[in-house]
Amino acid sequence: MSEIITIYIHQLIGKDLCIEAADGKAVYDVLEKYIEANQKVVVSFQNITLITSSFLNNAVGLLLKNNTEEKIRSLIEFEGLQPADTILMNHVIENAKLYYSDTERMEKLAKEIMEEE
Amino acid sequence: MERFILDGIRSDFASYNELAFINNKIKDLQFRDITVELRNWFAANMCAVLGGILNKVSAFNNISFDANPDIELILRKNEFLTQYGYNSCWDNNNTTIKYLKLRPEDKLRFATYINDELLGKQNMPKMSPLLKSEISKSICEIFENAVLHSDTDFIYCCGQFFPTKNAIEFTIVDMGQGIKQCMEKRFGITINSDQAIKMAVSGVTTKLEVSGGLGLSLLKRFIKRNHGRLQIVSDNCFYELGDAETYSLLDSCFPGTIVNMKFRTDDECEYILSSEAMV
Repeated sequence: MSEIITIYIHQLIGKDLCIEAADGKAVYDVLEKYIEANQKVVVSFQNITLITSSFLNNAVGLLLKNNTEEKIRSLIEFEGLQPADTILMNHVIENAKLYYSDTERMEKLAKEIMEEE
Repeated sequence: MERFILDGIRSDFASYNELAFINNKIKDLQFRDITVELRNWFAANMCAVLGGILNKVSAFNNISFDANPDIELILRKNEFLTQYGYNSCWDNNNTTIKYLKLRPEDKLRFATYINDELLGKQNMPKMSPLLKSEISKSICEIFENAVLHSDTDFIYCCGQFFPTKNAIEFTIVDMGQGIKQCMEKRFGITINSDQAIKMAVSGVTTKLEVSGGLGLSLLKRFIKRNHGRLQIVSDNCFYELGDAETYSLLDSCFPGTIVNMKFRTDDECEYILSSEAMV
């Protein structure tokens, strides 16, 4: 197959609001299959009106658990994101990289705050 | 007959202290006539807090209100009092953001409500589309946070435009487990309520397997740029981020969590630094 497939988030989750973790997980399940197959995909956020971090943590952040950012970016192209959502996406990716690279990070951060007192 | 007087309730430490105190006095009452007297001033967004407090007791007590006419009018306009048998009233000024009691699974209804009340409302204060969208997103993040962490039956929300102050205040309340209990369970530690809030606003997530913790930290960042204000009440801690970041202790504990956000509507800043937009 030569053409790159475009998937529409609006169609995939059936709504224009990307706010629910469960919808994010449904998107993750699809994207993970593309990565496993080493298949490029365009993910379109066209006609999406609202995106929250909770949705993106599940849809994209979770991909960082088993894949590098480079691999994800080489296979998945996001389009139709508003500039503010692009920033949110970057935050989610950076946060997930930290989270999965250091699973004890949250415990350390919690401990640091406790010791500040 | 029990009578509780709320005199001059606004989004400030003294008012949260008073509401936490009243919650503790009222929560175990059964089979009584309870009158809530609202005097002088009642900031409409605080209906979310009062709604949370009265929810459980209203099933086992006869609740009535004795409010001054101005307060009664605004609380009929935002449909808080319609839950207690009052007639609703047309909001001719378009300044209310309606009181809503939602179940955690009502996320889509909540998002639609925010879209309708903030993004789609006619004649609302002038705001740039980007600002409206960022405010909606911030509020949705906090709703989602309450759903994920509080293990609550209901979430109460209400907002208000203050045109002369160029501000919107929006309050989300849950009566589930507070931030302290949530952090203690996740990390197996014993902490103070102020440490717990500090962890939450610093991005510590209690979720396992999936990254998170961005909701409050992103909101904090946005509020700073917008020169707004963020308040969190959980357990006995009152956190406020405005010109300064402060933690104070209430005299009594509030179950669950109150998040109050104040946004400036006359802010025309673009919230994007070119270095950030890199996808």
